Amino acid sequence: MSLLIVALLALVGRLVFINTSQGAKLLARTYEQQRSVVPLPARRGLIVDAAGRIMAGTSLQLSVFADPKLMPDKQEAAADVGRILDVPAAELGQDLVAAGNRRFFVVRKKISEDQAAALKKARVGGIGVFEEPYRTYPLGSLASQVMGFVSSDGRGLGGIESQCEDWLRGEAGLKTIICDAGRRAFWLAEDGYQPPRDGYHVVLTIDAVIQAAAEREVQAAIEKYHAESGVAVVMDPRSGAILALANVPTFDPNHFGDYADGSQWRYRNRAITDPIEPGSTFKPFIAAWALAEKATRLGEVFDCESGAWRDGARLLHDHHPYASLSFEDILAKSSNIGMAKIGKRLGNKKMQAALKAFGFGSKSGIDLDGEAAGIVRPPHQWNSFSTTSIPMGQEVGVTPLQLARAFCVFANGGMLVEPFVIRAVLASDGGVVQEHRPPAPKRALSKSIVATMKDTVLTGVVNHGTGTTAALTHYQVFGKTGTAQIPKQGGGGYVPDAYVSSFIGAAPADDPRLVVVVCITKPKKSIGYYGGTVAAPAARQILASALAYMQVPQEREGPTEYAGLTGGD
Amino acid sequence: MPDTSRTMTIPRALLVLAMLTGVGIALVLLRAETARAANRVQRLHQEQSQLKHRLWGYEMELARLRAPQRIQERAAELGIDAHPPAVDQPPGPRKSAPTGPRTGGD
Repeated sequence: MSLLIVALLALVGRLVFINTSQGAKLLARTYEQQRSVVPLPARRGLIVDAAGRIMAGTSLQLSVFADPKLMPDKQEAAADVGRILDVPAAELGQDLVAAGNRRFFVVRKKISEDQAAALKKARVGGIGVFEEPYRTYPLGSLASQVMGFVSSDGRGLGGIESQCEDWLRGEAGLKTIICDAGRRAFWLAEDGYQPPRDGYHVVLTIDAVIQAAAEREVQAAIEKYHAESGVAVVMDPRSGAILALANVPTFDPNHFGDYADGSQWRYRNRAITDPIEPGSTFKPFIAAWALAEKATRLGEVFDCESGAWRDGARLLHDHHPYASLSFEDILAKSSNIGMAKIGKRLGNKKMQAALKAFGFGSKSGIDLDGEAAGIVRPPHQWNSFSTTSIPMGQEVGVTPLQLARAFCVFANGGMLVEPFVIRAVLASDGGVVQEHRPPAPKRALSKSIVATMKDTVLTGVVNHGTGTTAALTHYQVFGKTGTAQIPKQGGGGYVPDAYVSSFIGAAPADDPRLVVVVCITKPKKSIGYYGGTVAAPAARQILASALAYMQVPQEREGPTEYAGLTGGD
Repeated sequence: MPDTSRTMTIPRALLVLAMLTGVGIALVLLRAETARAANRVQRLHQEQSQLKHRLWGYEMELARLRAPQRIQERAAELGIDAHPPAVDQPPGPRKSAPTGPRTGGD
């Protein structure tokens, strides 16, 4: 009995000795052997359109990795894996040999579930399957320049993906697994679990249906007139929300690397980055300011010199000769001579004030990177040529976005709004992280001047002027066409037979809900190049689609012009 | 007289041994149950993760099906005209707007 007690005491003593003298070391060794820390990737946030449609999201793909150090025979492994993945074994073998003794080497990405199951069943030494997140754009190339894309290491490149990286990325978590002798996960360590924080979701003002309509019509115009490119902007004139920003040619962000043919310019959001000489689409802004400054009045008749007018050293021409035109018909017929005379009445100083009031020469403040401020020369560089050029939309560079924003003034009672694309940022549980709060708009024109321009002058352009191809049956459209020559790079005149055909407009006139700008670059002159021929019909179709989709009440009766999908999906 | 103190200590020792053994067994059983529960938690975590990932896949598939271009293509297959006609009826006169020749140029 005493021997038994002594033995028990000895055992207990030994246990206490081991625990106190080597306990910490043995525990650390246990941790190393049994514990495995597994990172838990955060899901990158979604980018959704105004109606909640997912424009960018994250999925998981199954990929194959290799640990060449654990492979007894690389060629045999390559043969086994190649047979399952339907890939030449020689090619795989070379990759494995090139990998050397790296412990983790991705063999193939995005394999099917059947292939993954076959690999697991084959139990090829040193080969494993893992899940990795990848960014996907289910709407394809829609609004791709606005969205941007994501690199292979998960970072945003360009567009919303890049500028909202901090919101979208999220924070990875981790879990500590206790493994058995075969390194299989046995249980989750209580103290070693930190859940990932998924990225926040970005809600845009872009509506995918309106965006699709804009891209479709711009593409159709480009194809019909053999043009180089085109852009369209669709905007809510009251809030400044951008409903569509179309740049064609576009690109597919799911395959963003496929454009190494020198056409990487298609990645640019040219509607906000590339200023153009606006041509006659600029005339309404100067004309409205002339009315406001009482430099002219509605109904005043100007001598349009039968289409040719020498002003000092300069000879100005109209596209069509007119002996005389009223103020409103100068816009309707787009007389350069008439506008030049209005410009001379206004004077450089007041025209500079007009440009500033409409936001030209400075950034609009849209929440997208890369916006250009446009080109407005400083006042001391203006001369007598400027006085007659600027009213015709020459000597200035404006972006299509700036044109749309400025035209909103005629559509919302005279206010210059700030455009925006990001409506809100939401957490994964739907809580609002950040919401767009627009700054107070500035008044650019009085309500009475705006009403005169909208209801008389600009509706006249569409009803009986150069913009009749923009007319709709059920809604009154008001707007202005433009056909601008393209200046040579570095100055010194214009490129022969190269034009930007444009139309800016809005509808319905009684309660404008949409402003549209369409600019088509370098249409083939022999087929057509006037703004009223090339751009106005595209703008009309965009307005028709969008107003029907938004179920805007019709202004007048008439034959049904839109018999198709009207809303929802 | 026989020595009862020595006779009494053996059952007492056996009793103590049995109690200790019982406690030891109970501890082992408790530990085993804890390990089983922790293993189940691990499996549930894994299952939750798999279900979450499957949900991501379904979300993306739904988004693809809802794409406006896809809906239009499907509408075209079904013979539904999904966008406005290319040539429209000219609008009727509105208020006192005079008509004039279409020029298109500016």
